[in-house]
Amino acid sequence: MSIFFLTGTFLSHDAYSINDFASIALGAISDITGDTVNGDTVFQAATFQQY
Amino acid sequence: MAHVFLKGATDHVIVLEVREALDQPFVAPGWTDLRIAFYLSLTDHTNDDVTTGLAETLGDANPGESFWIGFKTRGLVLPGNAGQSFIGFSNWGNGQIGHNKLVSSDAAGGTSNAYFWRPSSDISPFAAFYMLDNNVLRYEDTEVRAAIHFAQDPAHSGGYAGLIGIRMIRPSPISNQITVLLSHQTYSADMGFSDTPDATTLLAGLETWPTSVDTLGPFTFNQIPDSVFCYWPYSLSRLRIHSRGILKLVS
Repeated sequence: MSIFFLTGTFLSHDAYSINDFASIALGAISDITGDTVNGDTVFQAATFQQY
Repeated sequence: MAHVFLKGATDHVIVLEVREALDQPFVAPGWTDLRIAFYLSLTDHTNDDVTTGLAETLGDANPGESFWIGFKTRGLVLPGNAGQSFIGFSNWGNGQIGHNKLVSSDAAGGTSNAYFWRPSSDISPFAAFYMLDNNVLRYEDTEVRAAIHFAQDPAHSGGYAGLIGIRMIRPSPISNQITVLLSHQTYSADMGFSDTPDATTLLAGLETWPTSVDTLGPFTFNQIPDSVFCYWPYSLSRLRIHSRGILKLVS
């Protein structure tokens, strides 16, 4: 059964990845590693590209 | 190359290079309520912490001259191209002729017209929110309520970093009928500004979704986005990402 609501109160979540980059060292970065939460890979590695 | 800049005492900020994109695929199997949010700000093209003098007019509004922040098909092909789905903020203009801009704004909250920066275009002064399924336009919101802002004068904007987010819902984990619930303030889709744009503050924003929303859809998506994407096309300013998150609610 889906818990489905349009507005209002937060219920609960089963996976999330929240990152404020505090653990990433200052200076140049070429990628951001992924996150595994509750056994699930949520974010995979990030990549950058200039256009 | 993107780098991490220290803002204040503790805020590690990812500063994208000029015209640089960040693509981060995610895995969220069986979602029925999926949310992303960012605390974002701008700085100029050479200094990591200057928010003035960023106004700019770009060339024709092709995908590379448009900003894109939202959900996308994974990979580094820009939205607005074949094979790409996108749900998020942009001033692309759906291929119409015109110039994209970054303009000074007060978000209708004052008279100085100098509190914020706002992406704009000849086609819509408020930029827009787009829903593209494999490059087929499902929805385009060019109303003022879809506008997003970036702090220019943090003393008057409410903080140096602005929160924007996108909430997608669907009726079942296998449905391709996607509805977006977009924050709907009177004059923007902004979700607030903060001088503490850390993970704790971001999670609170993701959990406590605005009660005032625009309901966009449902629309059919044959190719559902599976990546988080940010691209800033301007040459006089760069996008700073203070925090970003994804949240999948129980289903």
